[in-house]
Amino acid sequence: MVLVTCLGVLTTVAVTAHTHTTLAQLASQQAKNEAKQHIFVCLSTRAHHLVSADEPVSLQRSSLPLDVLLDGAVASWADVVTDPSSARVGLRVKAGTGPDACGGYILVIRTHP
Amino acid sequence: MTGTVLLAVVVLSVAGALPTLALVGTRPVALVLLPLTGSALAGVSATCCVLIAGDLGDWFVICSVTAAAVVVGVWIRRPTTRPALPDLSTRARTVPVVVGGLLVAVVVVWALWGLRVMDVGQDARVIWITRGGWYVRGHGVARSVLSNRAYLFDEPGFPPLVGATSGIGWIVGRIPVGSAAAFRSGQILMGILNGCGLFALGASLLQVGRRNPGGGGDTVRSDRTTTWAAAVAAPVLCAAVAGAAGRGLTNGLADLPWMLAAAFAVVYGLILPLTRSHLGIAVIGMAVAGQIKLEGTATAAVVVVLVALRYALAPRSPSGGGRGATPQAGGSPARRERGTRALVGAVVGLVALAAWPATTVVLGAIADPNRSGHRQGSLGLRLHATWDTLGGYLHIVPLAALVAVVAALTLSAARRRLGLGGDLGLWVVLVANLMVVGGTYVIGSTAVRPWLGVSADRVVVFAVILSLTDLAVWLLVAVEALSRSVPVGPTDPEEPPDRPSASHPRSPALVDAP
Repeated sequence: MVLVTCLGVLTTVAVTAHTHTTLAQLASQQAKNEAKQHIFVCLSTRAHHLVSADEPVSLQRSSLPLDVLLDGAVASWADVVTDPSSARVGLRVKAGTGPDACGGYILVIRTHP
Repeated sequence: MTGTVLLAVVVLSVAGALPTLALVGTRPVALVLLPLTGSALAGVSATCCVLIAGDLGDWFVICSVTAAAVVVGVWIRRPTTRPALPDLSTRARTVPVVVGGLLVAVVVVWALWGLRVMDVGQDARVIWITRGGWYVRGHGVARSVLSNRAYLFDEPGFPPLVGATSGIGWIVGRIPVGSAAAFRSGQILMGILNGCGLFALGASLLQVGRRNPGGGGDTVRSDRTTTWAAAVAAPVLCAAVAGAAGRGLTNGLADLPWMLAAAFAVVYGLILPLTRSHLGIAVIGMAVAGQIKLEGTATAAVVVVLVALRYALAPRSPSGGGRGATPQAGGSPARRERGTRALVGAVVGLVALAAWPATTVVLGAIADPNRSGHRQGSLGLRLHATWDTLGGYLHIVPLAALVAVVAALTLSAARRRLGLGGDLGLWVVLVANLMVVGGTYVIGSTAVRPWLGVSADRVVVFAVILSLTDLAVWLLVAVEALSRSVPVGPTDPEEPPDRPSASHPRSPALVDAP
């Protein structure tokens, strides 16, 4: 009984975990992933053009999904500061379209005086 | 990209070579442990970078050279600890292991197929791989980020191994920090570490029934049947684990690297016969699992304590060592000496695991926003939501528990014959992990339902992996019991003359041999 149960559970998990999604679902998931990768890479590239790695920059928070995009684009390389007055530029992400948009999001730069 | 990532894997492997050789010996599984040991050294290097001075690259060289020097020093001082060549004299029991190993390798490659496209998970990008940039840029940046509230979403207080390993890849491949290539290389490196961990888990199953030091073995047939069963069960287990892990194996997230490392540490340290080599593999697993996520650190700490207890309490091997035993004077150490060793090992292990959390406390790291501030919802409501949500992913756990109870009542003799430890330790680790994970949701502060919604399916995978592993081990024990119940013919001429006899007591004994 133990043998049959163990064998049954292991093979069931091994088989069903890999077959429960249809090819259409997989393709849809992959398309979503690729779109998201594009957004991050695009926003990061734009940010690289706007500020250099050793330049203090402040991040203007708006909502969690947009903040996550902003952090994913700049947190590993930019010199992010808490106090906006100590940075020459501020960055934020907002939803929008246009030639500079990254998959429906725009990186906005604000220059402090 | 492929070339630079492979170069990074080679560098990690070279850094981990001598420590792995010293801990594990010359076994095929050591090959997949090399990059894991290298990544553990990268994690230690990041901790030193944050705590002291310098950058990740400097410390990686220092830590690797120091580890290698310590190993060489020990080998010079105690020549008996030098690794021996692998024992290939028993072809009858090597063939199924080779076949099983190849099947496991095929499953691992197939499981990592998702690496062919760029798929960096959101948390991998915002939290895990990102931090590599801070360590590469050196102490000044890494130290200041730790207490900078502007990095709140990036959780700078989380353990460093994923970022550190990615950072080594960027240094080796001269990949600019923060570039698309940097995240892609981090994704692939994490996938390769996952592949190594998955292979090590599969390989652990191949050891069941292969050698039973201190155990019986009055027939060859049962041994070979069990070993061949392991050759089939190991790839099936890997396929099941890969299925449970899903996209997490290839999207750069930090969950699977620690879970797989902790899982093989549990099997080698708590279930397989206690040999020096098995202990060494468990140590590598704990070193990796303990430096990736905080729940991994807590789980690794539980494994450290349980392995130490098992080592201290293991009965003395009746023969002073099984086949392949290192000819050490005096055989197994006396119980008191083993107790002292276990205590020292546990203390050293726990102190090492506490290094990163202590560093973040000393340096005043910003608190995890999910666990600080005003708690949203009552504890009762949070407990209810957590129980409901986690339970929805854990159907296999009560089933595996039921099988374990029934099997323990009916198959414990066959389990002892195989020289395996009981699975109580595995269940203690599983429950401890669920309590840490569930407790974090309950006592945390963030709104619990959205939090569970974005993370519960990932954090429960460890419990699923351990349940599947326990089922796989019991499957082999059942095969062993079944094969023993079938009358067998005369002894196989391939059976080596030094095989332990059936008259030996059959308990999971301590063997100081690789």
